[in-house]
Amino acid sequence: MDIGVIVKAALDVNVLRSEADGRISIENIPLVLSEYDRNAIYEASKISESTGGKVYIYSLLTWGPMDRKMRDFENVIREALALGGEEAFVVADKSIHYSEPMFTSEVLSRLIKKFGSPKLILSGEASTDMTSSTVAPYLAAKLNYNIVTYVKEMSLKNGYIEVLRDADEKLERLKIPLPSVVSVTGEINSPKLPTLIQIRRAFRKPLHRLELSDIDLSPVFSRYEDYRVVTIKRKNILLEDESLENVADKLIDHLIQEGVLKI
Amino acid sequence: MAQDIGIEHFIFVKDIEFIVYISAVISIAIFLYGVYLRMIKWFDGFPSLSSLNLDLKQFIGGSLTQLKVLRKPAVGSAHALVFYGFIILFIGTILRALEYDITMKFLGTRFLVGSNYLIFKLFMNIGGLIAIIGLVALLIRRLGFKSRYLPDRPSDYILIITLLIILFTGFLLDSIATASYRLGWIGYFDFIGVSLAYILLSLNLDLTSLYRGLWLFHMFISLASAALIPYTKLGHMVFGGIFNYIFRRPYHKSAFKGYKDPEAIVDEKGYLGALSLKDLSWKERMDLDACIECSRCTDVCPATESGKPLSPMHLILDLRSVMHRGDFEGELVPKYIDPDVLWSCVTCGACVDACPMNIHHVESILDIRKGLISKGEDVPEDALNVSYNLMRYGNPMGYDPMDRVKIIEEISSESGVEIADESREYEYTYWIGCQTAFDPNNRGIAISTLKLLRKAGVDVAILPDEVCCGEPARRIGDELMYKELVEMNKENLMRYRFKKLVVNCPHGYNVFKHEYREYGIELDVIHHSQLLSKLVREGRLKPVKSDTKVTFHDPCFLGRWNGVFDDPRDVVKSVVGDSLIEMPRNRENSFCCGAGGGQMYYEVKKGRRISSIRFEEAVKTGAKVICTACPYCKVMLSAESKGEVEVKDISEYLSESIDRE
Repeated sequence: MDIGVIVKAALDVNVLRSEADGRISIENIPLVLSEYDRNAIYEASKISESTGGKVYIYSLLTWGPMDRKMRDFENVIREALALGGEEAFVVADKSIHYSEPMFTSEVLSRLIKKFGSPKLILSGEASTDMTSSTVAPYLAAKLNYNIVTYVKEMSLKNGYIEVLRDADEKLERLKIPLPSVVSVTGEINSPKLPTLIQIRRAFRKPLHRLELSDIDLSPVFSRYEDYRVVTIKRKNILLEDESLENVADKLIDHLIQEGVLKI
Repeated sequence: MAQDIGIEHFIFVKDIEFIVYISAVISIAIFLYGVYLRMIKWFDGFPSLSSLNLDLKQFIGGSLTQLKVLRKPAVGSAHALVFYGFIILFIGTILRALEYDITMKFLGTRFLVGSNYLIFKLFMNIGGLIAIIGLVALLIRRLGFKSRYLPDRPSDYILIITLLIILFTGFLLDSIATASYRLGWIGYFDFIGVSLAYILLSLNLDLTSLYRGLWLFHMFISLASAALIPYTKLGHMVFGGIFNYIFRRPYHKSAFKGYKDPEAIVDEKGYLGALSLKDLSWKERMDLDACIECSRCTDVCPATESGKPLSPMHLILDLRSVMHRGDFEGELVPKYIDPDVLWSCVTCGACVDACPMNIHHVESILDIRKGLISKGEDVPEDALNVSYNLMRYGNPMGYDPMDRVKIIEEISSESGVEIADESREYEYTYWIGCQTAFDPNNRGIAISTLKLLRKAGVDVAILPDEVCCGEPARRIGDELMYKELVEMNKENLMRYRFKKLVVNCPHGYNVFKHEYREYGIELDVIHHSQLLSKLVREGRLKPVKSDTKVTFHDPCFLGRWNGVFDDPRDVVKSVVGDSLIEMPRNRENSFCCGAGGGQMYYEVKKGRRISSIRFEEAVKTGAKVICTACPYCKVMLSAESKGEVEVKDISEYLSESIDRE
């Protein structure tokens, strides 16, 4: 059975750079494959290994400017292909930079419908840069698929999937009929990092670069205007005393003073 | 009288002399067939000598002189006695045959007569005697003084005893001949033959029959042993002692196999390096047959000593058995070789240095690692992280590359050394390197070195930005990443004009010096220890003397691989003089810190930490300071110290002594 994976070329939060006024300088931050997407691709390739079928990668470039980001974006898609994707359909169009989840999911749903239309779509539980966790549910709605999120175990049965869903306070075991969109957590598997050689080998796999007009969409959407870092100032107070008990007492006093603790 | 002094050929056995010719032909045929059987395995059916380098100098200097074997004086001397003894006997036997079969038959003359013969006889006596002494010594060593990992099987004893039997029967034959015709004139020139002859004569035996029987026995056992050389341990003489010394790898010992166009190979084959035996070079396959199983490599291997699964000798023997089984296509890992065996290697080169058969274990290990990296399987997760970090951030630790630019600016302002300007030419460019730049505890190495260079008036600059030199990528087997880094560095380095590149990290020093050449980049590279020792020697740096006890730890890639032993010591001695104490294992016998081969960034969590073994050794010297000349070694040894000993780079130590003035 064919499986689709939606992936994001996310801002590398390890090398976040901001201006003096707190504005994030997006143009200077490299893009990486969003962390949980790696799990989604790995899971998809595991399933397709046992059931046959293709793994499609769907993506769009949400960050600009094009000339600074296109190379990174392509590398991310190659990496997704190296990890187990077999064919990629991506939209890179400067008119859709900084799009928000609603429009992003619209682009993806059209890509999926037009190319391959697999009945099972996997995604990471959230992107590592924006962490909205909303693209997968929006996409399911637009495709008219079922949705299940935060899946930490899954297996494909005849016509449905069985999942273990991590709902924070409890674990849910669910049967979801296909077609379905599934967002997976980082616990579902432990994918390996690809080496340059594997990425190089993935160059043979087809990567289709499309524009918005190719999926009959016009760039009408709301977009983000500004990104800022929230700076948290640490107080850097070092508590020292003769015994651990005394240190604990001091800590409690501090917490009461700060209003964190109430007695 | 003088004309009568000579050999009476085939005395007592004239009627059956034809047997020796038939047997010799059979023996030579079996011998050659054995060599052929081995060779077709190296060449995998297709003899090709394309990557061969003939090196007679190495053959004479390393093999014929027995210098490599003599690195272990006791057992080496015993081996050398056997070696030279048999060479003398072999030459003597050839001379005899030459006289009887060539000069007598075709020219009607003899040359082993008169004083020639006497000298010949004396040499044959000495040859036989020293071979017996050597063999007895080897037997005694096997019985009581074995090294820890030396294999010990019945066949090892049978071999020694067979050789002893050949020698004893030879002497007995000689003594009967002596008794029959030369006892009157041979004298001390046949001292063993004469002594034995007197004993035999006193026994009243039928010497003629005894001679005939012994002659057949001696001939058969000698020719059989010669025939079996390629099929037994004795094969090391041919495959190791001769072939593996005459044919050399075509590059420096610490440069590893590169590729003209690795991308093309990946596109065509899908992988680099070796997945199976057929991917190794013929020289690497010949290495497998060259092994004499002396365990010298395993005896010195830090991975073995610390309890990790690698034993270089057993790795070679395991690969050899795969070759003899004829499985050239089968994947080596994990079927035949446990991946941890390969990942345990710290590429310190102790095995290569110790091997008397010139085997390059590390090359094969790195080739198989390249295969594993290509597949992305059986690779430690942290090693894959190194690859990924290099790909994303240009350094193995995954630090933000923008931070490097800031760090370089800080180093420049603190040391007063300028950041290179494209329009100017400098005498030296100083390469900081990832470990020195990003680790705050190592940054002092760069600052000290640069301050010292500035103080000595050296014209030096640093680069505004760097990326990894590629060494970690190469050691974990990521050749494609390595090549990409080489190309980035080429572009970066070519932008500036300088005569020499100074490097404080021996790992960087080694790649820049030997391994960049494979991708067409020739650099004049100097290690900071070499430059600092020169400045001290020239009086341009004048350290204040101290009597602190200091020991020096040799970094493998500076010392053993590149032969730089004295320069870093001279730097330390310029401060502490005779208070430099050596560890028991020093110079080429030094013991790795544990960080080589990429293991700075990953760990095979089995057995002890290699660094703790080395640290204990250093502490036992009573030194207060451990000096080293490598940022990796510094990190590893510092991590073991709980404050009892300071670990410093030689540049930091020298700099402190100069600041004291």
